Amino acid sequence: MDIDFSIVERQFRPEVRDWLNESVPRAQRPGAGEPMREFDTAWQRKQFEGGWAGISWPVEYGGRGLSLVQQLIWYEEYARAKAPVVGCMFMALNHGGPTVIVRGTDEQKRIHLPAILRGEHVWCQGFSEPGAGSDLASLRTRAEIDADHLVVNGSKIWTTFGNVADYQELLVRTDSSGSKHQGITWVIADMRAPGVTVRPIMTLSHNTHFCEVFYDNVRIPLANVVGEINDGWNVAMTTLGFERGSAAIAHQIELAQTLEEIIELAQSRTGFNGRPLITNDKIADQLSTLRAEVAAVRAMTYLNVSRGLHEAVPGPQGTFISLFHMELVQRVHRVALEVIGADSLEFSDDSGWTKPYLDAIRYTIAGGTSEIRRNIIGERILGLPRQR
Amino acid sequence: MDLLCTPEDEQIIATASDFFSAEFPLDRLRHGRVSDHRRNSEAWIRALEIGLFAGSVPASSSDTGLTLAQMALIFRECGRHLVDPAALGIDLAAFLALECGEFELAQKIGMGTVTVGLTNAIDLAEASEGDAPYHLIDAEGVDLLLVWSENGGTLFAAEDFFNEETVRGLDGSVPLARARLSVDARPRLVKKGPALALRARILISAMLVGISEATRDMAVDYAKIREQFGNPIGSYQAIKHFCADMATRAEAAYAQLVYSALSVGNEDAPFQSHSALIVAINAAELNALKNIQIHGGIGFTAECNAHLFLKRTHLLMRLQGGGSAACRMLLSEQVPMAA
Repeated sequence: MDIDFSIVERQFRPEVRDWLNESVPRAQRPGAGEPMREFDTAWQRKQFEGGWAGISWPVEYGGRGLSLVQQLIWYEEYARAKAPVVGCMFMALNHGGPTVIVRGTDEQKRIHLPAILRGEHVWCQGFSEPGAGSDLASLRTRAEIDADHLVVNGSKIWTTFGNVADYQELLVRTDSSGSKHQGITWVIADMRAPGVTVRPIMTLSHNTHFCEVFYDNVRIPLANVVGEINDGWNVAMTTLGFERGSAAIAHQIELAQTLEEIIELAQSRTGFNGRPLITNDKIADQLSTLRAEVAAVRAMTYLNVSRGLHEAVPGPQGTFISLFHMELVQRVHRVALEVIGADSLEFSDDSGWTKPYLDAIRYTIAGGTSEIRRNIIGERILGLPRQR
Repeated sequence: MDLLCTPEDEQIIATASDFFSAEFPLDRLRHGRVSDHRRNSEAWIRALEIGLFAGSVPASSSDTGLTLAQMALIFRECGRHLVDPAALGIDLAAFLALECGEFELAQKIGMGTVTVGLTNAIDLAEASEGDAPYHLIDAEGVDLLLVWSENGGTLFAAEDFFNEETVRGLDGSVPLARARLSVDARPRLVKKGPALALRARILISAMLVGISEATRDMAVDYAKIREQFGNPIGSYQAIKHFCADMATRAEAAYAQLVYSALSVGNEDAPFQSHSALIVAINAAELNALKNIQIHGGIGFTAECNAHLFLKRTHLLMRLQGGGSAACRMLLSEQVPMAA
């Protein structure tokens, strides 16, 4: 047991820090649409040109192939430099790309992987449907094989950045005769193909990144299928664990920065009695408990990265971190409203605490609800019986 | 950077766990009896013989003893098995003696030939002037009593306390008394500085982590076998999700405990240890309560061991002033930069 970094790791940190300090864009990131896409992809291209793209991707696919601990350091420094969020590059870098690395054909790798690292291809996800949320395997968007193409009909929903994406990792039903987990196929869809319609959905936090996607006889070459036809569930469940949650450390450090801003506000703002809010026992207890919990979520990530140094296949323990982290983000943003008091009544798209508070509500829904995460912990870690 | 236990650490855990399972079975505390594993019991003497509570006292000048992180692993097992808090008195008093260069006294404390009880100030405001009121914890017939604060630690002779009055404890398994410490009392040993409080915080956190894990396991085991409506109650999401939350809290508290124990010596050690205590208090208390809830009616009885964990949690958290005090101290700390 130790928390010390090796000589190589200690030398790596200033190298990362220097590059980030010189290179992080200083302009405000646009909140939506093409300007946002342009900003996110330009930042990705800059990282590529600096030799920092694909920090956790294997070297043979253009990544840096760094050790888990170096990745951890990269993400720590990334947050410390207040580098922009990965934004619309998220799905390509963290999901689509890694899936193609593990299950894709040579041609798929050649077409997509370098283009992702250069910031040329933006990806989105087409998994959920109106009738298939937590029960994803019940999805019904249909694909029929017609010669060397799939012909897709149906719709997907909650497709973040669907309005700016070039490609989509799409799950379709190619066989309805067996169990619901069989007969699903994972395919790369061109978002500009004829028959694809994207309808942005306004979220409760006034974002329009969220989309519904309709498919009307959309033809997708069979060459775009990743893995085998009807084996899409396994492809989707492909362990995407190169980085063992080390990327989450950046969000955790951002969260720590956010919390410290809130604590500073509580020290400078006064309550009804004219004294600083931090002297209010209830607010002080909340802020302090949050500080301890933000420290703990980082220690949990260190612990999980440590597990990654010893085990080849990630276990389900990462679910502890995602459940704890996502609920913690919401608690932090909730206390911010308490600290700013009546100012919380005002909403702004690019400043203030109200929008982040509203936006954080998605964290316990997106990418697996907290309830599904609790089922995973209960069944896969604690061995409790599944409900019949 | 690697937070996982080494094979040597695993061996330490196994030794402590096997020993406590055999010699300190939970059922010894059934019905809230004061523990019969007191200082002159065979089990206690055997624990001292194998050096479980004084692992950090070097056996010789060439020996370094166990690290604080390794002692935290032992005290986590103490928490799981509700080993008497006197164990904490041994480690802390021996540490204080070593800090003062009193190697022989440290060894005697470790061997149990000099015995130590714990105290905590009842009223901090009153404690600053005149004869101070204290609770004496697990201190029946001891030679020395340990008094500590953020500013340092002191060992007093038991005779320095007067007006001693035995009182009934919330945690009935640990002897409790009220007494006053004479303003004129001359300490047997004093060491100023934050080191003792830091160590105490980490070891108390370790015992609370052990409680959060033991109650998680007890609740999960019961949820697998207890049937209602024709199914094990653990198959219902209401219960399953309680168990998942218990496991998540225990994981968070354990991770922060290990990180804080390893950070001792670094600038951020106080920050990390206050954080460890806060998450450990919350994990132990909430898990102990949920364990009772999941056991239902039987959980509310003295027939079931669930209540013992809740009561011990309150005793341990109060040793350093409780959750609010920990929160106050964390807020006054410098926040460490990202690495």
